[in-house]
Amino acid sequence: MVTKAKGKPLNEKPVLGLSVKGNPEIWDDTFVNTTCGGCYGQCAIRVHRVNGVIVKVEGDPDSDFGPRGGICAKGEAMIQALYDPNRYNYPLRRTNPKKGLFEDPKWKRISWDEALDEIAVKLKKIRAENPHKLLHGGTPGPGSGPDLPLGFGVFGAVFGTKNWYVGGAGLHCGSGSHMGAGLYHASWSIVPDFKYCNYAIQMGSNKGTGSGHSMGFNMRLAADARSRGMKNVVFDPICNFGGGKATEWIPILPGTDGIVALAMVNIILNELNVYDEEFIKLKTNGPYLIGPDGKYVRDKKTNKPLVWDAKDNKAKVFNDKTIGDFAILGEYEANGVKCRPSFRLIKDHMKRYTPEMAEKESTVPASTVRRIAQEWVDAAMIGATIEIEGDKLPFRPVAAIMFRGGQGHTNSAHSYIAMCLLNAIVGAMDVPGGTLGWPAYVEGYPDTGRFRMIPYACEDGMLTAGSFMEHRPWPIEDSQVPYTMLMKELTPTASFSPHPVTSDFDKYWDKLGRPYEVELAMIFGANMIRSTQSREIAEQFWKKIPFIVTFNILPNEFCEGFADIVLPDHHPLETYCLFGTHGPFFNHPIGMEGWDFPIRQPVVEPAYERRNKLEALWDLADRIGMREEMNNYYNVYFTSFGGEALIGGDIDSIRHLGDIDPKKVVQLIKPDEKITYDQMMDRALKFYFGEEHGLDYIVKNGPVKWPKKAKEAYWRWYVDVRIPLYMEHVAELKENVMKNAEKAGIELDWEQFTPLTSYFTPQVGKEISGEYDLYSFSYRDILHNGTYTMEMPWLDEVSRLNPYTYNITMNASAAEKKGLKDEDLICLESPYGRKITGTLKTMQGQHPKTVAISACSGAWAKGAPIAYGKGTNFNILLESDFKHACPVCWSQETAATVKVYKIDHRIEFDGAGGDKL
Amino acid sequence: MIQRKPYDFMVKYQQQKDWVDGRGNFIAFAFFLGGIAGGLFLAAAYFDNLLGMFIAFLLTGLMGASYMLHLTHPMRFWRMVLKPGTSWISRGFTFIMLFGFFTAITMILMQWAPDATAAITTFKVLAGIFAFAQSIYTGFAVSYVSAIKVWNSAIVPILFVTCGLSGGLAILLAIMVGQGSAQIATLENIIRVVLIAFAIIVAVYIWNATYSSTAARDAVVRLIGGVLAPLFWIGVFLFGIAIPVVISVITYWVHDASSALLITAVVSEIIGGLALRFAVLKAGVYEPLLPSD
Amino acid sequence: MRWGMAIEQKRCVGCYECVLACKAEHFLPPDIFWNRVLIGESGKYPNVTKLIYNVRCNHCADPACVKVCPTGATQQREDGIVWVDEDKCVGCRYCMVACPYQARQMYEDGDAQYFPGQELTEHEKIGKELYPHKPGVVTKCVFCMERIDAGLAAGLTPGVDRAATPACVISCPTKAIHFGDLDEPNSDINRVIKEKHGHPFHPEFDTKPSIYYID
Repeated sequence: MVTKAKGKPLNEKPVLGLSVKGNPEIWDDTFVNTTCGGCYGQCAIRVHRVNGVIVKVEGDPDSDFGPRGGICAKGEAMIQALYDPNRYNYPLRRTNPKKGLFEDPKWKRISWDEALDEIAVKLKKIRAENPHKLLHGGTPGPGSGPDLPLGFGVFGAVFGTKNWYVGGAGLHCGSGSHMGAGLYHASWSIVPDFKYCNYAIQMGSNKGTGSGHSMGFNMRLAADARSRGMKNVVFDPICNFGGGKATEWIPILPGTDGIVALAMVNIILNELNVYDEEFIKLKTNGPYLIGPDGKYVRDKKTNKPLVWDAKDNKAKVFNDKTIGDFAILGEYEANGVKCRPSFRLIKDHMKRYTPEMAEKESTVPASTVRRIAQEWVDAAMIGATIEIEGDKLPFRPVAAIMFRGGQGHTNSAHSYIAMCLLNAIVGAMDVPGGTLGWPAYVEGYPDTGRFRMIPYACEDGMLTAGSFMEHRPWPIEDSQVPYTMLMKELTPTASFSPHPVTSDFDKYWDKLGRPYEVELAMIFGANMIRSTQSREIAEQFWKKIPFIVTFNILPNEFCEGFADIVLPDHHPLETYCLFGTHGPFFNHPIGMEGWDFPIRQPVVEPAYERRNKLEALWDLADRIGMREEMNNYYNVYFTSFGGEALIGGDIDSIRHLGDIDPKKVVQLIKPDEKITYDQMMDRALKFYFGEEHGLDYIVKNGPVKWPKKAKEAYWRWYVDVRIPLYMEHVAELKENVMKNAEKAGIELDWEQFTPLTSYFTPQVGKEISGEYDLYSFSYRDILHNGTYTMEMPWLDEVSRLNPYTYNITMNASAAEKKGLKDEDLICLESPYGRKITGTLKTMQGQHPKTVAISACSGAWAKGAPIAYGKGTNFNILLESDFKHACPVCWSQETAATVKVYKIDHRIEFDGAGGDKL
Repeated sequence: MIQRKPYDFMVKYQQQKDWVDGRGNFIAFAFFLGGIAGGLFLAAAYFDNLLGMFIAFLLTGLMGASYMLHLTHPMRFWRMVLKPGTSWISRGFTFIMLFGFFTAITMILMQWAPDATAAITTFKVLAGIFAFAQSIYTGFAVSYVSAIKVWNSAIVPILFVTCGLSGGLAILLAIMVGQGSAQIATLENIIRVVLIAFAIIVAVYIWNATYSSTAARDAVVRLIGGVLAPLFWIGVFLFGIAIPVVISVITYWVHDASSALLITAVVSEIIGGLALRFAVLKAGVYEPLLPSD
Repeated sequence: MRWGMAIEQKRCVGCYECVLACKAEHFLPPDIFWNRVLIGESGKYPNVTKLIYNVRCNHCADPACVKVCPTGATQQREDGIVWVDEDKCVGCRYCMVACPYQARQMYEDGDAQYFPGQELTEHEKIGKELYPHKPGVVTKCVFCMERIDAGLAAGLTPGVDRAATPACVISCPTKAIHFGDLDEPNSDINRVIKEKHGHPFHPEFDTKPSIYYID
């Protein structure tokens, strides 16, 4: 606790690094190194505290983990969230029994003991009856990402429930991205190697200019790349963030990026006839032989996929050391069947995706598609090498990346893989200049060899992540008849699921005999009503749950409308956190940026009765007798980074803790110990980095850092792994998924279960008809993250100074044709009757057939007065069901067809109880 | 054309909002009062009308009060005289002080030492010089602002001083009507000339502004056909020019025109003079900072 | 010595941190901005360029505002920084009218707070102690002159050492803003301006701004 020491002012010398007028008394002038909580980036920051009050947030100039001294506006504005008078400071209980979108909870303050006791009673009962009755989840709220793998997901998994609902996750980023990046890069997402890339294509991605994911170092590296002259082609319906900094912005219809990518692959493979043979032969399943049933032809003895050795002219197992040359074209016979290398099938399959067809679907001119494909191949420099720190590596200075916008549709999986194909055929994957996943290969701290994560080859020789989270990209699990409410186990290629918060969930759960109902939901950080699709559908689901507990910093629509107990959480500036994430594959700096493990520590003491949510969860665990199991989990978890990959980090593997040989586990925490968070951090840090590098050391001297090796940054050619260009596993899965789906009465678009990457018109495209003639979509804004940033007055102020952040944008000529002009209040209505309103701002830089809304605004919570009524909540327009989800990866359809017309007031606020808008 | 939204700030043509709206209205009043006070004094001095000079003196005081109401820290007003080297406001402050001083002496002499003709004439001339300065300096203060193209014209000081003279002559006419003076006819002739000059100068000013820059053209469009059109056409043109001109034509042909008609013309010119200041100030538009196509 | 800036347009992404870093540094009241980010477009669909300009007082070498100020409250230091003496300003707004970049604002409401109707936050309270603003006077960017002066006194170099460099410059995540001495021929800022063809912003305003933009 920083208190004033009477009569000891420090300012005999002037305050440095802060503008001060006159000579006020300064008795505390400290910079504290910690991590930012503005978004998932978790950039390293140094926070200036004067006289016990935080006055400034700056970037850490010595850390690669972020902008190296700079920070973005969200980080600076954290100060206002910390000191927001509307914060939750005490545990609260709802006294209004009614739940609904606009209900006033009528909070009553209670004590922590009362709150936790009541929750513990319910948890005990549930655990005894059926642990799946606990639904737990959220998405990382204001910078609490690190608490996902260390707290919330773990609590539920150890408790025994399989109902882990990461709300909005298939909406905010995309299941296609995470499935695809996991499969192809053992990573969470991908980004160009800004340091060396010469030609970067972005499809529905704002890397380096947008919000969310590792924005800090991406901004810095992308700025260097632009300054250096890197070409950046951005396919996007709007010219705002990504498009605004592009060297060429190409307008495109939402959901059609896949066909443009496929057309480019077609041109490259079939017209230009250029591709990186070596990469395809050695790093992909291109040579794997495919039989007439579309599946691998497998060796009868070992069951391993066969390839054709062109030298010896016979079929061999794929990892046979005697193979002279892998055939990737032609037709052969093996195991008595006619078969072809999968690359041949892909090459032929691509022929149907002509640039003309791409133009018809996407409105991107065929000539542009051809030109970009040619430029791509020219820039790729197939065969080139580069020397980095003494290592000679393949040099492919091109990168094609996609994130939310490109794959946020019902053709998500195929769209994303289409783009991965573009990279794969020129060999630009995890090599200098090419497309990099966030760091997937960590050899470990040089002194201890710990914090180790190495991708490896698993089933069928395919790339397997050393550690991951949420779902396991490879090996693919078997399809099962759904038994969780998320039903993800039906389709193991799904990374997140919209269920159970969907309009068709009950239909399927009924058919399955309604095995159980949710009795208790524990949610942290997420706004399950505003940041997820369709608040009307969400309302129906959450209303039915008898008891909901949330951990929050600031009031939001979900707590007010639905929570029974709210527990006051720590703000990132007043808490501890171990690192910025579960693993570097999530958000660590890419390429040759150094290894850096910043920790979070409190800059000020938390006030009132706010508590670190992990410690609150441990307290709960104590009350239900689960603490020992939690301790055991942490021992397994930390040991896994010690070299033995005991668990994969995904939720399912956590459930198999009991199967692990205890002799392999280092006991950092004794079974019956009740330690605090910072004590756990201290032990973990010492385990990873050596006895002398505990919490005290790091607080005093800064985080442990060491240089990255070229082998780690560009690991692709150092690990003998392949990637599935031909998605054979989808072919294998299809039959069982169909059979299991029938048991639940689920109908999916089975056509998409094809191993050959294809284009399927997204649902939004199918719903364009008649007066519903516009595609509406939303995109990330650099000023905002999630739904709480509009409550910060500084961010609200500058949002109002921005022409697009709080407005609805349309192409100027398109608006004129509809008789609309700037500042009109307009309504967007979907064919399902969903309506949202907002102020129109016309743009030149927008596709004429689209309407766009940035960020996730439109707040109506009574406890967030600054955010109230600002901007528009786009998600109200979306549907939530299987029809509007990708059948393969279950990503949501994030665009909606609408008609637009003028309106006189903001109808979605009717009933909210605030000012009339 | 009018930018309202905060995100259009200096992205579109930006209207100045500091000398107009809210407190800024007092600047328009003060400019107007200063103009007619100076004009009235010059007219009154020419016709040796002590009442006229006195009212000019009072109007100057009223102008000072109007300026003070505009300031957020009025008690520091004395500092405003400190930068005559570069600031037209400092110079104006000096002119006003000197005008007040010399006018006071002139009036005192005329009232209590009417025979000291040499002294009276001297001080009257001095006061007259500073009356003119007081009337014209606001025009220079406005035209000095090169940032606002429609203001940055040599015509503006001439426009302001002519308008001030026109208004001052009108007030003197009202005074003379009240006094039943014999010099009304002479005054009317002078007024006719000044009115025509004023009308021509307004037209030349507007016309020239369409050439000088795109920001000036934007300002003119606002005045002629945009949101400022009522102010310009009704305030400046109808009241400031049309009605007085019509009345002066009528009185040219009909001698011994009724006082009511003359007073109408006076009031009309006063409204017109005030409207002119508002129109010019409200038409002040900045070039956008963002490069345009 | 004449302090100046150079802003690399290619690097800037319009994240608004320059605006907020300044607000935090000087505890600026609500709706007062010492620098801004202007967003616009140029071109017609589909050949469109997004325009992002970070603008502030240019601390011109021939400042219109200093000339028109009647009280001398607005003044220019030897090192080129233009600032307003809060004790002398009468609020006549002539300087605000005269600035072609509209860089100045009047701080009107001394009671304005960030959470209207609720108590002042600890952050706002300490702001009133560390960097108070007097209402009723003109306010604008001062190139962080207190930071620069304190830094120089401690032997630091503005533009090189973070603690002596303006807040917006050091907080920019893409390092788009350079700061330094325009009169020093070999300074980093002069090198950047020369190599990358920096040009002053709207030189036709004739005020000789000290901030250069690099396309």
